[in-house]
Amino acid sequence: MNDVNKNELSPADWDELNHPRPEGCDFDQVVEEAISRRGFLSGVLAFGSGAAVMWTGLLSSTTAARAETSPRFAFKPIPIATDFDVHVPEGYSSSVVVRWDDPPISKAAVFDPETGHDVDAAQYIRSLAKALTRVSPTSTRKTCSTRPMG
Amino acid sequence: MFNSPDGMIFDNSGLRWVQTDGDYTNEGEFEGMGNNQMLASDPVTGETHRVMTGPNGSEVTGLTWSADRKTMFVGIQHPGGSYPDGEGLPQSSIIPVWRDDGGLVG
Repeated sequence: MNDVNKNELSPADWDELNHPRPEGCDFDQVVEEAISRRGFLSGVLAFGSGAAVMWTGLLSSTTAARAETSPRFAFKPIPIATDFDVHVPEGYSSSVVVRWDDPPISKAAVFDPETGHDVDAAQYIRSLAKALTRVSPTSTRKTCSTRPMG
Repeated sequence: MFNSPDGMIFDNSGLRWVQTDGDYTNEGEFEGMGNNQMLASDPVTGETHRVMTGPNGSEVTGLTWSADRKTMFVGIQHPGGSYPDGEGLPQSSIIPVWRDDGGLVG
């Protein structure tokens, strides 16, 4: 171990040397629990032969929308959609908070949804970088704010 | 239902949220699957339900929550049609989703 020249290590190798990964990981643990006797098999035993039918039903989108949901889920499942909108469960709402073309500063050129052409890429990156610097939590500027610049 | 899972995250309660990026033609072997979507499931019981569907042509990419867990932010990438305005070219967007009663969403 002492023979390793740390200056020549790649970041990944350096990380592996100093912080070796454990044999297992949290994800493995979750998967193991999901297929454990306590989890998956108890469900099979509880529902008996109907479990296979129920599982098939869950895989069917139309049936899934009608399936009874456990209290674990705070929403009423929705059916598939084929239109050009977003759909959320009853009692839920959605909107758009940011979209492609939103200028990072108020005077930046914007995307033209009619032509598909947008602001010059280099200008956009410069503007975005400048805006992000201004709102960065690591910034020491007292004027740090999300107010649009320009 | 699991047409090409593409993103996954667990919330504080242990529910697993999956976003998909699959074939959205709703034809052939993909018939009945519709647009890409977001699913929530219990990793212990396997119970899985559809919680959101994206616009046709899009993939649903990424999910995170506000600090109070009352809003989730979901990525809608390369939608078709004229999403989200209903006219002009479509635009990828980040959308907040919340409960009308102000309850937790994850």
